Amino acid sequence: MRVTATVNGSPFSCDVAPGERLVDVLRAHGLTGTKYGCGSGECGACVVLLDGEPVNSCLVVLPRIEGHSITTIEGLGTPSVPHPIQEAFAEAGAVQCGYCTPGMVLSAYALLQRNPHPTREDVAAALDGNLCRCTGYVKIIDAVMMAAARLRGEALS
Amino acid sequence: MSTPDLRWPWVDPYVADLAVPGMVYAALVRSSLPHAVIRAIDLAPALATPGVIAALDGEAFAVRGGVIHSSRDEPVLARGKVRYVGEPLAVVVGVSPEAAAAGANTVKIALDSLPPVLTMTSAEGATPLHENHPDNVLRDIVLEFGPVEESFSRAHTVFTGTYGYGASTHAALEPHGALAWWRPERRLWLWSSTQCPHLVHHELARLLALDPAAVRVMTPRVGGGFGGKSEVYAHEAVAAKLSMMLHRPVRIVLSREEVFYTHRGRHEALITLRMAVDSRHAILGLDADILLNGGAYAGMGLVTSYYAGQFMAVPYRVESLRFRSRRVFTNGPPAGPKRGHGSVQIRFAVERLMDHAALHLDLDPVAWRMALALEQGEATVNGLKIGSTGFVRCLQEVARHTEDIPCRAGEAVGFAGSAYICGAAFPIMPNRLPHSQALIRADRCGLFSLTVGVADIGQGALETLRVLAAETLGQPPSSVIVSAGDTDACPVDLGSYSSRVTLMAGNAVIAAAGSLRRTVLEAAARRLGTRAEDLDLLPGRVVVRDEPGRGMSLTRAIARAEERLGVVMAGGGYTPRVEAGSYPGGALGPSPAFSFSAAAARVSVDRELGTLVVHDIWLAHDCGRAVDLGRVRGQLHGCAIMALGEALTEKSGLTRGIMDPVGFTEYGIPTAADLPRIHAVIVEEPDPAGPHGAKEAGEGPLLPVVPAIANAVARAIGAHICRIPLTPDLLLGHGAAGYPTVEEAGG
Repeated sequence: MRVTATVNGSPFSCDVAPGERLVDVLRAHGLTGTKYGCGSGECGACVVLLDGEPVNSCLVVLPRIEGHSITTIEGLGTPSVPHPIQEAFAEAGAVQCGYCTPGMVLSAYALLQRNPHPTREDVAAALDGNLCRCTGYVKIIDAVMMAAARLRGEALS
Repeated sequence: MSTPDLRWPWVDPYVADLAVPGMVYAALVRSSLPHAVIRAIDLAPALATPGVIAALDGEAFAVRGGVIHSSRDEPVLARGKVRYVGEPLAVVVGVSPEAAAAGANTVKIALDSLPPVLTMTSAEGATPLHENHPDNVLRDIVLEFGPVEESFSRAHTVFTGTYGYGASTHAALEPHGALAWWRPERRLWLWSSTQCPHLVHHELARLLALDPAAVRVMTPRVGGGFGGKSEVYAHEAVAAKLSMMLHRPVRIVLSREEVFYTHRGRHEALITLRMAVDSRHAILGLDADILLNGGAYAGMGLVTSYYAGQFMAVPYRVESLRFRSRRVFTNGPPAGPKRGHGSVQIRFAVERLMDHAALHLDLDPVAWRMALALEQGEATVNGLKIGSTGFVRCLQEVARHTEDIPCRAGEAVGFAGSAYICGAAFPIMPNRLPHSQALIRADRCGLFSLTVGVADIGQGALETLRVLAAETLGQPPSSVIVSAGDTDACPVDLGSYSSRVTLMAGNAVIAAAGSLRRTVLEAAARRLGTRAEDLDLLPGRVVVRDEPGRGMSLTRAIARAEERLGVVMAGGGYTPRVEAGSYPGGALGPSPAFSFSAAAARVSVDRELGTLVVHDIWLAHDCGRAVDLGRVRGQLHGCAIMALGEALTEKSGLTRGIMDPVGFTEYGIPTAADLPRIHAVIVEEPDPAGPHGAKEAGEGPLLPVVPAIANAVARAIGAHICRIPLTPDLLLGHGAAGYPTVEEAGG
C-alpha cells in the first residue's frame, strides 16, 4: 500500500505493510529523533504533530496519515536557528538524558500554538502524557514558561 | 560520545538509532513459567521462518554470567532450568526486526513445571532455585560492631519496629539495546546502552572466551540508567555471539515489556529493627534483621546485602551496631542496584523508628537528629570515616523553610536525614588499580581535548568533568572538549555506579589537567626567561604574576610546548586511599567521602477516602562544593520525584508468578501533573577527598525523601506507617504490620 503525506513540510511517499506504525516508518526514513519508549502510547517519547496536534506515533497506523501533515522534531527549528523552545530547554537545564526531549518539545510546541499564555499548571497538564524519569519535570516546565515568554516577545525576568 | 549541544540532544544517536550496513536483528525468546526444568528447545520452526537466518539456545554459552566473581550464577540463556517468567531462553536472528520476532514466536519450548517460590518470606526451605543454595539464601551475613548486648542492656528505652519496603524498578525512558559487530580484523565491537562499559568489556570477553584486548565497547548516548544498566545482560552477550557466528552486525533493542523483565530494581525488604536509647537520648545500639527479595539470580546482590546493613547508622552517632542480612532467591526477575543502592530500605526503617521514638520521647525530630549528627573527622562504629559533613546545615535548612508552615487537621510535616557514599572504595572486580583515568591534550589552536572512560547516562558527568578540567587550567569550559564512551580510545573508568564519577573521575581529571598545566607553563617559562611557578595561566593567556604586562598567548605557549615535546598531553589516575574493614565484607561500605541530605515533606491525608497529597518537598543536600549548581539542582529534583513515585505509587511484584506490571501506566511513575512543589537547597561543605571539594549529588538526595513523606503521613493521621508504598489500604488503616513496641528500663 502506498501512502502519501507531508513530513516536515516536504512531500513524503512510501510503501507500507498493513499495520505498520508511524514511529517505525519515520525512524526507518532516518527521522530517528522520534524515539521508541513503550510502543503503547504511555510515555510520549514518540510524539509527533499530526496536523499540528501531538500524537503518539506508535499508535498511528500509516493509512491515518494519508493526505495529512506530520511534523517531527527534525522539522522544528533549523540547525542554524533552533526553535525558542529548544533554546529554552537547553538554557533551563531541562535536558538530562535527552530521550524524552523530542516528545516534550513537540508537546510544548503544540501547547504554545493554542495557548501562548499558559500557567505552570497548563504546562503540566499539556505534558501529562510525556514521561521523564530524570528531571522531576521542574526545569521542563521552567523551560516551557521561558519559551512562552520569549515567543510573546517579553523580556525575561 | 562527546558533550552534546543540548538544543539538539536527539542528533547524537542512542543505540537504537545506530545502523551498520548488513545489519541483522535479534529477538529473545523468554520463559512463560516461573520455575521449570527445560525438557527441550526446538529451534527448527524458527529457522524455517522466512527471513530468519540463525537461532541459538543456552547450549551456545559455556560459562555463567555475573559481574561479582564469587556469585556467578546466571546463564546468558537459560540452561537446564528457568527461574522466572521472562528469563531469556533462546534468541532468533532475522533480516528484519519483524522476521526475528516472527521466528521467535515459533520456537517450541517444552518445560516441566517446578513449584515456584513466589514470596521472600516463604523462600527459606522451599524448592531450591540453585543447587549450591539449598536454603535459597545467597549469603547469611551477620556483622556486629561495638558492644551490642551491653548497649541494649544499658538502654533506658528500646524501640522495636518491623518495616516492609516494596520493590520498584528504574523505568529509564530508553530501553536497553546493543549493536555488536564482529569485525574482519577479528575484533568485537559492541555499542551498548550501559552505565558500565568497563564491566561489559571484561565480562563480555569472559563470556565469549575472547581476549579483552579483542573487545571494544562503545556507549552512544544513554537514555537514563538509575542503576538498571549496570550489569552485563543477555542481549549484549547474544548480539556479540551471533555477530561472531554470522560475521554480520547484529542489533537488538528490548521492548518495554522486556525492560520490566530485565529489572534489577529495588529489592523488596522486610526489616525488623531494634533501637536502644539512653536517658540522654543518645542512640546506644541499632540491631536489624534484614530480609531482601533478590529474585532469581545474584547479580550485584551481595553488595546489596552488605549495604543494607553497613549504612544503617550513618549519618548518626551510634555506639554499637549489629545486622543480619539475608537476600533470598525467589522466582522473579533479579533485583539489583537502583538509585541509592541497598540503603534506601534501611533508611526508611531507621528514620521511621527514630520518628516514632521522637514522638514517644517528646523530642523535636530535627533537633534530635542534629544532636546525633556525626562530626567531621568522626567514624561510625563500623568504620565509615566522615571527611566532611554538612548534615546539620541540611537539617537547619529544611527546618528553617518549614517553621512557619501551618498544618490543619489531617496535615503534617515530616522530616528525615541520610548520608551516601561518593563511590565505593573497592572495585567490583577486585584489584588495586586506578578506578578512574583521564587523558588531556593541549592543541595548538588553544583547545584542550579531554578523554575519559566515563559513561554519561544523562546525569551530566561529562559536563561536570569539563568544568573541573577548565577550572584547573584557568580556562572557560568552552575551551575544553570531552570525549568518552569507547574502550579503545579512552582510559579506564569503572562506570557510573555508586555515585563515584564526580569524585573519582573528577580527581583523575584534575590530576591530568594539573600536570598539563605545568607542562604548558614550563614551556612558556623557558621562553619568558622565568620560572613556571612565577607564571599564571589566565583565560587565553600566560602572564608573569608580578608583571601582568609580560606574558604570551596561550596558543603560543602550547606551540612552544609542542616544539619541545612533540605532543602536549598528560594523564592522571585516581585510586581511593581508604582502608577496608578487617572483617568479611569490610570492603563494602567504605568510601572516600560521604554526602549528606535532609528532607521535609508536607502532606495531607483523607482517612475516609484513603487519599494522600504531598504538597511540598524540601530537600537540602550537601554535595561538597557544587561544580555546577544548575545540574546539582536538577539531580535534587529528579531524586525527589523518583522518591515520590517510590513512596506513593510505584510497585513491582509478581502476580501468579509473573512480573506485574510490565507497562508504564500501570506501573505509575509520576507525571508532570503529579508534582508537589519541590524546594531544592544546596549546601556546600567541601570535602578534602573531592575534586575541588566536590561530592556526589545523583543518589544521596533520594534517601531522605521516602521516610520524610512516611513520617509526615504518620504524624498527619496519628498512626504508625511501616510499609512502602503508601497505598490507600495502608492509609485507611488496613495492612499495617503493627505498632513498634517500646520497652522501658525498670518497667
